[in-house]
Amino acid sequence: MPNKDKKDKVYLEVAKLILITSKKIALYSKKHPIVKESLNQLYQHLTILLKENSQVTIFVGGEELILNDISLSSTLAGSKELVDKMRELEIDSISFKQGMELSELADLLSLLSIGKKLDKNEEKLKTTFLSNGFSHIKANVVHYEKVEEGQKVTSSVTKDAEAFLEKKEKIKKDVPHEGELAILEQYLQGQVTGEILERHKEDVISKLLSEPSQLANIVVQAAVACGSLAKVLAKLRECIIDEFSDELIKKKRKPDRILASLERAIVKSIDTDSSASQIKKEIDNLHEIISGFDDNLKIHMLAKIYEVTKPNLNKFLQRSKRLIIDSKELNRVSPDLKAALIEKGAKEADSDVLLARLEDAIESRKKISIAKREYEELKNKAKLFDKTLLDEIAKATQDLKRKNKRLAGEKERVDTVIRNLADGMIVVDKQGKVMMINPAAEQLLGIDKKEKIGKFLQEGLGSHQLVALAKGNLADEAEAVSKEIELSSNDEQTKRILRASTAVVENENGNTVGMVMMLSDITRQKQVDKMKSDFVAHVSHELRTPIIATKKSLSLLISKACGDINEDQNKFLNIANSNLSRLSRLIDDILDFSKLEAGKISINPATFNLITLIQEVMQSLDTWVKDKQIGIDLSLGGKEIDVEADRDKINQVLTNLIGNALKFIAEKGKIIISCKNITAGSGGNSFEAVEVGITDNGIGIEEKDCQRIFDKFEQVSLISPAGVGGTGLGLHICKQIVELHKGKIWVKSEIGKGSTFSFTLPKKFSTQEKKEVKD
Amino acid sequence: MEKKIENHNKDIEILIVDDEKDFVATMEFWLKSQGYKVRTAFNGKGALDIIKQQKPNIVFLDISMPEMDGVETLRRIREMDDELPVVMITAYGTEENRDAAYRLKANAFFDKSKDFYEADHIIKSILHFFAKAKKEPNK
Repeated sequence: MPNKDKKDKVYLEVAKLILITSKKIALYSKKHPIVKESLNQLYQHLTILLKENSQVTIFVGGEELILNDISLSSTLAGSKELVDKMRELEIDSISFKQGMELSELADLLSLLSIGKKLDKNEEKLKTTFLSNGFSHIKANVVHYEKVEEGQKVTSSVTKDAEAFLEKKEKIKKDVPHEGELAILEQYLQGQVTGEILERHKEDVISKLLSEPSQLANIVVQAAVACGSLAKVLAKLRECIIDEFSDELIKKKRKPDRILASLERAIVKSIDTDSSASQIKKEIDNLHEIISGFDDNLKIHMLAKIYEVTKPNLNKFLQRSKRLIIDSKELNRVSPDLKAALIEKGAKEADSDVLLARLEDAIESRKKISIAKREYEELKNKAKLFDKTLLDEIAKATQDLKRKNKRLAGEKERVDTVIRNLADGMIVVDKQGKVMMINPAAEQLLGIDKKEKIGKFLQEGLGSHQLVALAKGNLADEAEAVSKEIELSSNDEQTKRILRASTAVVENENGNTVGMVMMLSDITRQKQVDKMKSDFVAHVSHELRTPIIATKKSLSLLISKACGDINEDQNKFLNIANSNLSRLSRLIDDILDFSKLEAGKISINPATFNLITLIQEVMQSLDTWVKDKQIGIDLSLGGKEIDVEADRDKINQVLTNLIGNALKFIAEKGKIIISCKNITAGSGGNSFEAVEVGITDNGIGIEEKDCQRIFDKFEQVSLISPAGVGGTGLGLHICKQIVELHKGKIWVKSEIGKGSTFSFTLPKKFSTQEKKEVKD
Repeated sequence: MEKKIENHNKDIEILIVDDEKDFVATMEFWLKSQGYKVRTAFNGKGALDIIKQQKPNIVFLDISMPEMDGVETLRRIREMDDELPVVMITAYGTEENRDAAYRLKANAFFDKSKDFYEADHIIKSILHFFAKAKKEPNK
């Protein structure tokens, strides 16, 4: 169709010239040669066109500029400006008629001059043009046709138009639809022919595209009027296929979408209109009918596209692939489509190729659409994820807030407890810097918390006050330490003694992070302790003094220093004396015990010969030994074994152990006393020591009691021969004394065969130990 | 035999200082029965008076007495005489005073609860030691 291409080119040239000339007029005057030149050109072109056509029409459809059915928007730069200008002037279409003059054209173009404000004359021109048009150029041609019908222009349409106008007047009374849609309604009811409708199809279609609901209303109205929705829809289909498909293709509108929106609108319209309920049942068929539209419509449209784009296969594919949803649909319509294509001049082989290519194009589009769908899905998932994440974060934040609140509450409670502790509490970090001091500690130490936090505790304090606090490297002191601190004061009343218990604070990895110190005021406790020990000293003195005086008196009588006594007197004086001795020993034990318990026994070490001491003890017990006719076997390792110890205390231990042996041994029994040098300890800690053993062949001790007998008051539970009494404190005191010397005491025994009590003493008394005992 | 002992001890004068009169009585009786010359005082002040009048050979001084105690009395004795033999009489509960007494050159300690023979032994040891010390500087 070379003719058509030429025609397209001319139209394009015309549109270009309209645009250019109007722009030129905006810049220069109408009489300017430049303007005149292009104006003349335009006039010549239009005149040529008007020789071939009764009229040339520029029409604004949607955003597009259409010149005698040819859409120009895609090829003409600046067409948008012209469209906007026409809209601004309320011009939908401009029709040029045969016999048009140059001046008319000049007036029109000055109206269209883009970017220029209208002056008074032009305003007048606009009003004239819009209401009546110029002689051969008319605005909004439909009105023109309506108005001019009776007077002028001969056309084959005239008769129909008159009929239409009559009908329209009639319809206007019944239905609210105006103009073009009324024609459509009449057409649907079979009142006007397709020819009349075709003349208004541009308006009808633009209305249809912008407001499908109105179309739906018309369909329903028409259905109500003629009593059959199916009939109306069939008519609509016929109309869309026959009259509108070209326009729809031009406008690149998808028929299926229009039909779908139409379907929705119809259903909605019927739903809301109760009087139309009688035709509701027909709706079931609607979708089928519309589907039927679809296929036939699509085939028709594809054939049309083929016809238009015949030499250009790509263009055909580009336009047509949008019309077919999927290959399934293509398969359904392909026989009919093939027939339609052949009808339009395609060879059979070509049409097969076309269909195959079309299928490929659809498939690839489908893939894209699948990819698109997946993308959408992913996007939705991402959105969902974001939302879930935000929800989770919000929840977690809520939880944390709650926990924070709870922790804050707990901290508050703990703080309150610490604040109100009667004991002082100080927490220092690893370096010994103060992290926390409670009010009690402030008061006890007479310091101010504000001045101490973050500083060393000793800073600014007299060293005599707090020697024991946070001393040395914390990491070295793994175990809790308890020390007494005396806070010196000139006034005896305010002098205080504190007990500082320090414990190392470790984190979960076992590293030292600081130290906590509890300070207790033990001034009162110390006073009570002193009173107690004073009392013990006092009582011991008071109890012993009369006993000693009595004992001395008895001894004088027994020793006959005061003169002779008879046998009976001697016997009873001895009974009194021995019981007095027993009483004296009891008191000694009790007092020793109470002193040990109070940690009050002090060791006075001196170097002495242990062998001599053993001999002395044996001598003091000589009477008893002789009375019971006990055989004593002294197995002493040499004549001299020097030890550094408290002689009196060791004497007490020996007297007690040997006395016990004598006590629990039968008459004519045997006691072996041994003494030898040994090396005690192990490895680098070994030291010289001496071991003393006292073996008897007495009643023996059950194995389970061997450990127990060194506990307090344990003798009571043992089998002891009648007449053997005691407090049960003796061995306990021995154990304490030996341990104070850093020695050991133990017993090996067999029931019926006898026992061996042994103890060791280091030869050198450790001064360090002594200090610890005193502390 | 008894005569011989008496002859040995009759020139030795012993001063017993203790607030416990009953104990002093028994000890005095016993020492006298051993042939010693014995004088007694019941407090530190009385002891110092006697020592000022005429020095005994040995003083037995109770370490714990009311008012002026044994340690204080010993300190006053030492002010007068640095070499007078003094044996501190100790009893249970008086250990804490021993160090102080040591520092004031107490020559020995006699435990009240021990037999009087021990006191006799101490007396003889001290006298023997002093007799020896007196001879040696001359050599």
